Amino acid sequence: MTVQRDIKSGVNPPTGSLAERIRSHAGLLATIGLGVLVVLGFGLETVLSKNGLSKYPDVYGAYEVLPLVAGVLAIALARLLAGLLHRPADFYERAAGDLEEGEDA
Amino acid sequence: MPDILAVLNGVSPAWFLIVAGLLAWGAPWSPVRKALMLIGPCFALLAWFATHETGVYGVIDLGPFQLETFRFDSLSRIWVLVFILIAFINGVYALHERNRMTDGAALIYAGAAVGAVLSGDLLTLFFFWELTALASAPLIFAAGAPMAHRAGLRYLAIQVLSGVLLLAGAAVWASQTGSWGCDAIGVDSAAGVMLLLAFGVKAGFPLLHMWLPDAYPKATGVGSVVLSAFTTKLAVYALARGFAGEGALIAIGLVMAVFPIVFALVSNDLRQTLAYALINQLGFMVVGVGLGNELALNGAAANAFVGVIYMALMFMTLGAVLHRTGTVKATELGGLFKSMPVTGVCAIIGALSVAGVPLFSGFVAKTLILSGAHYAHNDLAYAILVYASAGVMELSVLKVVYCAFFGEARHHQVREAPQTMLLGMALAAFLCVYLGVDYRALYELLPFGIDDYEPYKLNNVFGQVQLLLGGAFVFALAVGFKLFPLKSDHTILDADWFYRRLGDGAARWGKAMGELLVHAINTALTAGVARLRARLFNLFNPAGALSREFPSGLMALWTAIMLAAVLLVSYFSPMS
Repeated sequence: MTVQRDIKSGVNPPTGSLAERIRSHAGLLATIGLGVLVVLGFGLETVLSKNGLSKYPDVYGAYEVLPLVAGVLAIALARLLAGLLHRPADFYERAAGDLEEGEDA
Repeated sequence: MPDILAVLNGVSPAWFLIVAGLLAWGAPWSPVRKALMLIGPCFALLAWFATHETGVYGVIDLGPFQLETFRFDSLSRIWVLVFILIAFINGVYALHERNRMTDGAALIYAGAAVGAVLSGDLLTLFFFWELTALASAPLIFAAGAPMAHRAGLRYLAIQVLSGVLLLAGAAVWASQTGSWGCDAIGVDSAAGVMLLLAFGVKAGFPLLHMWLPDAYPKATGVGSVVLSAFTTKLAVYALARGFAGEGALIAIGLVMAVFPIVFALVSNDLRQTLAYALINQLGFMVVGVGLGNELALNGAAANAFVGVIYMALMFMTLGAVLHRTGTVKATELGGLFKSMPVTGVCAIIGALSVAGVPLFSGFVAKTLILSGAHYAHNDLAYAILVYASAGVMELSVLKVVYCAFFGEARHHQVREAPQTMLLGMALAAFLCVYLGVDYRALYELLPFGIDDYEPYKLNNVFGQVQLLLGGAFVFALAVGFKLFPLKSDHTILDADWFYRRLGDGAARWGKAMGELLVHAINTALTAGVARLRARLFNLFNPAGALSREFPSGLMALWTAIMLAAVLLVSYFSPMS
């Protein structure tokens, strides 16, 4: 499909479209970029780790993957916690009598 | 200038802040108050510079007690400096606000915190300890809402309780040792345990931390900035003074570093998220104090210094958001970077510092504690702290920045924050970057010399960047799959449930039971009195039993019986 040039705005349609496309996929691109950097980091460490290029001199290998797992676990745990212990936002205020029936916080 | 410095030599910086605060409280003119908020910290800073020699100044002789109001040594000077700096930065940040109560309270609070740090004995510490409580509560009350009022009362009650524990512990300590000195205490005695609890309440120990995420989000925008700076860091100082090397603190600190993360991730109030992040940061410091070696104690001091600044910066950015949008709820914010770009950049700098990104202040401070743990061969502490900082804590600060400034736009048509707020944030952001780059400036302030310590080693930087990128990757993935952040306006129950619901419920139940009991006693008494009255009436009324006429024979018989009884009693009585 050909994009019509908008004479009034003076914007070059292909440029604007690309920028828009990049912007709309910024999250995905950032995720891919971060993923590539993480993999590169582990790759670099694997190559150089004989000389101790590690934050943890006594432990090598997959040790640094564990914080990634911990991050995922923390999010899962947070969701579990939210499921188990969540109450309405004005739970305490209503219980304490700061808010009456039908009144918003 | 040298003359001024000579005059100020040995004068406690606390007094300048407190006097300026009292004057500001009394001054009805806003420009005067604002000038005092800047002049007070400037004079305090001059006094800090003027006092070159470590030692004890400002001794007040009260007969049996000698109060040391100004003990200046390598441990106290770094805390005093950062308290003065943040008081000044807050003075700049709050220039737009017209609130006599918070202007004066913020300065007195800062002065009390400085005074407490400089206290050489437990009585002086108690005085300033309680003053911090009394001066900080108005920062919550000033928010005005009923829930802020209640939160302020809860906060005040807990802070005063901490002071009571401190005084009781100090008294027992003095009776046991004969000294009111504020030095190494330890937990070997009941006094030590009481003092540890007193400090632990303010430091946000697990299960004693509830006041922190309860009160901070309900304070005014400026109030939460000031609150984040002083109370908790003062407690860390007190722990470092009295309980350095206490093994129990390592476990307590590790719990503090880990458990708030989950709460920070699910909290919908972004200032509450920061309050939990603050507890996490305090955990690092408490572990540093518990480890007790020079590197770790330096780490605790360095973390307190940079932590005051970057957490204040984070609270400042949310204060600016609150000022412009009227909310800091994650569900009601998003996409503010377009309209508040400078505030957004400051928030990013603060978040990078909290997460410990190289070239930011958090990195050069946290690495000291990690090295302290490694030096002490405490691998468990080391690993947990690594996970708690770079691996996971990053998620919660990224959440704050993402929810407020990026993410789904909530169409808040707002302007950038007021210029004075921006200036305050810029000052704090500058320090976050400056201390990360010129880390020697920070290290020279630390209690123990560490000239040979180098944080920017290749393996250290590389490992940290790797962890941070991993954390950011997890965050991006979770956001991409819409698993995070959780978008619902809710309250997550924490330990505050015990006193806000269980305690409150128990109090209400007790009150209801008390009322029932009083009612029952009242009813029983009323009925009993009525019955007694009726019986007496039956006896004594004109037609009553005792008003009747009795036959003479019967009366003679009764008289004889009574006489016989008297004779018998007198016969058998031992007196006869």
